[in-house]
Amino acid sequence: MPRVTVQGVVKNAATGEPLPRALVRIEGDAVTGALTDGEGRFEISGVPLGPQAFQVMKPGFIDTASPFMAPPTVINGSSNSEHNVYVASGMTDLSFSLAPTNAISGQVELSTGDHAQGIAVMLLRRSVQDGRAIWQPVTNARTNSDGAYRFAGLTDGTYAVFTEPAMDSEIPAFLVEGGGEQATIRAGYPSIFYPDAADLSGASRITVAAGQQAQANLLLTEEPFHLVRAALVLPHSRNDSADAPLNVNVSVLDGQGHQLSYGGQYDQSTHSVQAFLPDGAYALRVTAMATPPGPVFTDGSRPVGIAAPRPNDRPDDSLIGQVDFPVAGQAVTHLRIPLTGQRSNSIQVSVIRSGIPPQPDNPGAQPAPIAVMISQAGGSINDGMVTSFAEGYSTGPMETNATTGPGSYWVHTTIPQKTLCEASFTAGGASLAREPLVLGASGSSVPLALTLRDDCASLKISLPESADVQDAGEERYYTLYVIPDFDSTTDITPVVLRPSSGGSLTVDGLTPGSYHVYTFASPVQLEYRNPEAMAALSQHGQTVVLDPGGTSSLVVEVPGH
Amino acid sequence: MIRLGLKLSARILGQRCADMALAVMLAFSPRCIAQNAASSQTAPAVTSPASYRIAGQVVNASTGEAVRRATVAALGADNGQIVQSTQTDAEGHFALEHLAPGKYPLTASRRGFRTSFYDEHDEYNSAIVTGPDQDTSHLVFRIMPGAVLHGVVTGDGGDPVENASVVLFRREHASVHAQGTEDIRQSDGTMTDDTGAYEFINLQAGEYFVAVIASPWYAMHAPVRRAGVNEDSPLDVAYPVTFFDSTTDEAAATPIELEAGIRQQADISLHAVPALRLQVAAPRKGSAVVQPELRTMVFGAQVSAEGGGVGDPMRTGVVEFSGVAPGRYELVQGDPPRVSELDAGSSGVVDPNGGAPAVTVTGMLRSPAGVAVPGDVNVELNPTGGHNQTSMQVNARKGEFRFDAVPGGTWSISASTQGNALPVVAVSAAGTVMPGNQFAVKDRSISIVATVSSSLARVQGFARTDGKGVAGAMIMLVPRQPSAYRALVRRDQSDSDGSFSLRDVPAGQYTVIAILDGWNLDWNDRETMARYLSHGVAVTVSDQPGGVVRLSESVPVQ
Repeated sequence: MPRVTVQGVVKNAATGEPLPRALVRIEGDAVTGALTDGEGRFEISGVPLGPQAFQVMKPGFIDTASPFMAPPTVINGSSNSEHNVYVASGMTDLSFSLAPTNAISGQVELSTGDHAQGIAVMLLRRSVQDGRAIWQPVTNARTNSDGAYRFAGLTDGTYAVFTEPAMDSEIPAFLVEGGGEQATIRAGYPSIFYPDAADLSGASRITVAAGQQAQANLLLTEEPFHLVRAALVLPHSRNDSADAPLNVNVSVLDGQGHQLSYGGQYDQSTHSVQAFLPDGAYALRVTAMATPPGPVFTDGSRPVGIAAPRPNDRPDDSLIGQVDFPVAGQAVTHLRIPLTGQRSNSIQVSVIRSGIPPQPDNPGAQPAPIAVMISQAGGSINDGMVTSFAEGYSTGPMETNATTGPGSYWVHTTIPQKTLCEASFTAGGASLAREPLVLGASGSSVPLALTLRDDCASLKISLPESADVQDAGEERYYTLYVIPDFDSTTDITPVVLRPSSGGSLTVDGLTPGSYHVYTFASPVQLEYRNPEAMAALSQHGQTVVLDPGGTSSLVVEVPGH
Repeated sequence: MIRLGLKLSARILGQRCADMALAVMLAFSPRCIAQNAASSQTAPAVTSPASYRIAGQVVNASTGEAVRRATVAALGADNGQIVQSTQTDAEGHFALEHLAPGKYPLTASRRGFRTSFYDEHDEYNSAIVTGPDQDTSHLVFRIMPGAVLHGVVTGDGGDPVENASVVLFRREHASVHAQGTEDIRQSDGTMTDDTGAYEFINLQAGEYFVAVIASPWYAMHAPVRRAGVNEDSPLDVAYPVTFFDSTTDEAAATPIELEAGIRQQADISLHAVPALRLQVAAPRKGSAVVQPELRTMVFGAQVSAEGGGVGDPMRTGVVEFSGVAPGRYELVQGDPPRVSELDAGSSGVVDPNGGAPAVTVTGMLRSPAGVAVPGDVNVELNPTGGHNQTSMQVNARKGEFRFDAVPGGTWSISASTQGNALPVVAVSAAGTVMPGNQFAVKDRSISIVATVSSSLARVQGFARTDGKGVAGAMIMLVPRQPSAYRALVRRDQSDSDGSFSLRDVPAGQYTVIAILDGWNLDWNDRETMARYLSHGVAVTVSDQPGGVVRLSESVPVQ
């Protein structure tokens, strides 16, 4: 196979300056590469002609040019970004650029004057998940023996920093014995958001770009932590197995129902839960499930320390309960949490038949079920946490999982059959694309109705001829979003168009109606469910109307690089 | 008093739970489940009118200074729960009041100090016993400030090396570990950050070694060398395992002496050298290939392993490990597997017949009555008698287990289920029954039967001198049969009234001894301990499940 020498330059994307000692490597059947010299130039010999995947990397920098991945938030080592290069003889010099990563570091001080060693610090990043901006936990760190923490390798963006609650000193035991409540003196440092807020809404946004090193120092103030104990009360139907071992999950919520990072423990010997909390308004939420039975010897004896199985326990027996209370200067030990069975809901699924003959997209095969996922909404640090809510087919009602706790959630519907598409998804008549789903105390909801239709449309999108040429050198590609102008809980996955894969593709299974198509010259995470963010983009989109059961074509307008 | 292992493991799980909260959120998995640690259903402390106190002073074990604002907690002896806790005042004094008569393990903790139990030795400590005639108001509770070891790892040209694996080794007293004679043990590990920095905190005083395992970030190793392509690429490089003070020779590693509470720096610079390529036999076995494994060895311990290699072994019977740093490895290759020590200094073909053949050890776990042990049981093989092999673990199901690739030598076998030990009291191989938990592996596969004891008694008593209870003595239960020493020896530490409780004792004949200041003795070595046996108290434990044997005679303290 003929081989050529490829040369080019690597630059700092923020400054435009050449980058020395960056690695340019080629993956594929020939693994080869070179480091750039003092002028940022590289030369790789023996490169086979034709399409090759190039990677460019250097510690402290990131290649944000990849279409395959959303911009990562924290990079450890190399990234997987790749550049498609069509290698030809006589090719002009290649030019790559790497963006410098940012860092947020700080010093934690304790009001007691102690060394702030081993304090857990969490990093949140404002990210876009399924078209909505959320604060997402990115990583955590612990302060070193100097009380310093550091988050490095951060992409450009907006961040927030908070500390986990920390006890003044750790006792190698979790639980406080009955009667010891008032005699148990503990102190600790409540969780704070930089610079000194109690929750995310009061936190400072730390925006970093172009290789910035931001500083975020924190002062933690010691406060008494009081013991909170709540007795679990099992429903009557469970009283016969009141001593059955339970897998108990305790969460501590603030007055608004947002989960806090305080921990709670279950004491099996007294069927109670405990937490140590500073003054404030809280809720304790408990979910409980029966433990699976442990092993039994053939002679009927059991290994030490393993509870007996309960034949009556169903594995799906899930209980939930919650209690709200304030903590003010002393232990709180009179609480009771009645547990009730968690309820599942029924989603009424119906299909609007258009009379168009059905076209099974995979004849003979059992179609994959429709999946409804939900993600936490409501402005807490748990936002965006995704759980499965229901799975089923277009025939009849769909039972939801009974393990989802109360709260508000955004709904995400995935319909694998391309012959079916979403007409509407409502809760008590309100569109779930506009309003989050609200689950009550035992997980119950107002009536849910998913309406499908079978007259779905297809859209063939193509690059214009001017952009659909495969020259020697790095290939350009485009990221497209096809966004309905109407309500839908179906998430939109951006598509990538590139000349080497034909320059066109067809999106099918689309609900008929009016759409906007947005084309970008670089990978973008679009906040497509935020009307304000979309208003700013409106003049860039192309409108296309898809007729029921039809296939439309659109040649996209490509922006300049 | 022995620490409540169950409680401590629950605590560790709990901390992991907290640390994992983030990862869990990202992984969309169910939230952390609270650990059901408490299995013992003890009644809460009886509300008796008794009013005893535990009081004293917490001092810095290193300087003797009083430690203020330390948290002192009295725990329940049976359930490990907090009975009462308090903070020391400006002079380090604490007092826990209105306690019922009973036995209370005591802990002290403060940020920057190693959290410990009262008079802690290994996993033992002296619980405080309150009651009439017990002086529990003048305790001196010594806690040790943690030491810090930190440094920066740099590469050629002084560039920081990110994501380098930094492994900490500590020289241990022979008394601490139950196996082998190798006394430099891996004690911690961490990764460098983007500035090349690493740090170990809360270390106990002692002699440490640091080893760094890393790859140059720009290293490239073509999977299979081709003629004409980058024959001597400057990027085909590796960092050999490097020790403080920047040597690649393990024998020349500089020990780092850490005193309690100090902060010491140990920077290490790495130097990239041309990487090696090793061709290793990967013979076919039916339709599969027996893949070799290359283990990086540091101080006799495996710190990382690479399996497989690349190539077309189905056709050639050989795979190639590329990017290999010169240094010491353990290579497992062939079928049956052979284990060899490899001092890699140059590229080439590795002798497929090197080293000793490893064999398969299959076996059964049986109760003394010959019944197979059901359920999931963790079975562990540990090297004994000084060979540097790594420990191996498998899960036994229905009492049957299998270890592949066991190198020759003497091994001890142990079993546990759900964190509870199932002591192996005898091993039979080739029809010969040997008491204890050791067996020898030679050059062929063997099948063994390990008898585990499920009827475990406690042996309780008092260590006294002149009729007075002695706190803090090392108590040992020594089996009468010398060959069962390793498997059946049990230890405890006497509590403040001299009481002790030796757990998990299978039926048999034993001698109980008490030694003051005996914590530095090499208790693993029966010869060392033999001279104390004549002043011990004999005890016979019969085969009755869950029993308690109380010694009527007190054990004299030596």
